[in-house]
Amino acid sequence: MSKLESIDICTIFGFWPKRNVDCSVETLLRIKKRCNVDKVVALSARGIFYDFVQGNDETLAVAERYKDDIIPAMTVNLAQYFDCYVEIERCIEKGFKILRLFPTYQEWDITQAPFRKLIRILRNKYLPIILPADMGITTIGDIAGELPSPVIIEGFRYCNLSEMIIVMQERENIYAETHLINSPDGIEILIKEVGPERVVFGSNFPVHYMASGVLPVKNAKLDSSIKQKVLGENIKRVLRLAR
Amino acid sequence: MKIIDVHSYYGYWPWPIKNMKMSEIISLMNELNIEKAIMVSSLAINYDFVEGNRELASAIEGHDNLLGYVYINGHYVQKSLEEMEKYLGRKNFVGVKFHPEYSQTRVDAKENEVFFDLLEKKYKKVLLVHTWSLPEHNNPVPYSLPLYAINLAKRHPHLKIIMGHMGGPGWKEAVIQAKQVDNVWLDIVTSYSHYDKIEYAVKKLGSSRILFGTGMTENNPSVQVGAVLEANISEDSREKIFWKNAQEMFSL
Repeated sequence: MSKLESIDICTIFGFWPKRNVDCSVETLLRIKKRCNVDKVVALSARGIFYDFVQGNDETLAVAERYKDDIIPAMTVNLAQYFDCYVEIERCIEKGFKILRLFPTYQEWDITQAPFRKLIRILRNKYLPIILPADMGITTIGDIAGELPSPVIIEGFRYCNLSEMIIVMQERENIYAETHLINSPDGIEILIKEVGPERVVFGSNFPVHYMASGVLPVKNAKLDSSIKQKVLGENIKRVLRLAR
Repeated sequence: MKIIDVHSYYGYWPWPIKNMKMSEIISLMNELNIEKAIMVSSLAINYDFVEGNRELASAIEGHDNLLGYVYINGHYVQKSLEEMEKYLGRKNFVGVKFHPEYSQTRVDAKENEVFFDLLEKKYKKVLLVHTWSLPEHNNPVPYSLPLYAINLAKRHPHLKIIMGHMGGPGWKEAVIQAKQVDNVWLDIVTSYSHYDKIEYAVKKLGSSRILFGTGMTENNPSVQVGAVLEANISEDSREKIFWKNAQEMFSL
């Protein structure tokens, strides 16, 4: 069986102020290698907790240095107001292909006006977004209807798998990221109900172990062709990366 | 009347707040007669405390009216100790700032003893600890209850502890709890100013245990200046709160 190419869509590097976690770039790369993950979609924690412009610059610099390993994700803090929307344009020009948002850490939410403004701006752009499930899966689904791009929900659990399945059945641009599904057959059930094309692998390193994200996918009772979609093909399509 | 601000910040805030240059900070201080301000780095609080402390040290260098707290993070014991060693020997770093809510670690946690032993016995400088009566920043449990600061004060009777924000919305309770010990002071910094807070604290705890702070550059310093000016307290109490207590505490 040939090796499955894997891309982890949810990783962060930098300094983690909330716990003693080594998430330096070097550690991310080391763990990625240990887990046999080929690439990671990553961004700098500085952009989450402090200054997103500096953070995005850091992300870009690291991604350029580690071209074969890291795909850069941009972020903004909508509570900041200044520069948010301009920053998205800037990052798109610089080659970022995906936007990841952290409303929980930053104390805003997607029902608020700054996020509605972001949605208006993105109505005419192709820019996949990653949003946390704790913003409300159904709410995210409703908003996703306004966008042309994939909206990836990360961090949903088996206790809201039912909601996730139905939202994915109702909205073709909703994708499911896998890191917290964590029931013995959650991934299989999800794929049975919504198909394999919109499920993408992530680990949410350094909040969670990368191996805890990758092994359930690799060990799932699924054909290797389907695993390959989840592990890498789907996100490559979403990010419009060369096959 | 002159003012000493014991609780202020330097650096960028991830809200729509102007990132004030040092010249602008000093200008603002002059407008309000703030003679001295003790600052902590917002970069240190929000993100990387080593980088933040370094940025602050550089920013306040050469400004006699600006002093610093070294920020430590309970998750990074060794690094925090190194930071304390690096800065607390300097005259312009007058204490340690600990923020339990941002760092998600209680100030009275056993693993933090090593910091406060050092601060109490070797450096004999002040601890400013953020206190708040509710969980903040989407934390599931509160890390900053005033009670935790009191627990620490009891274990370190010679350590001068400032309850930053005097417990926030739970300031009444914080005032009552502070009566249990002699080595806790309250600073009045919040982003609002409840009408009878200062009078209550003076009445129950005494004006010698209340310190003035503004929370600038995150907050508008005029808010707390106004609160103290308006408070129905004696001029002697007002003086103590505005500057005398801080002058004595920090040997300024």
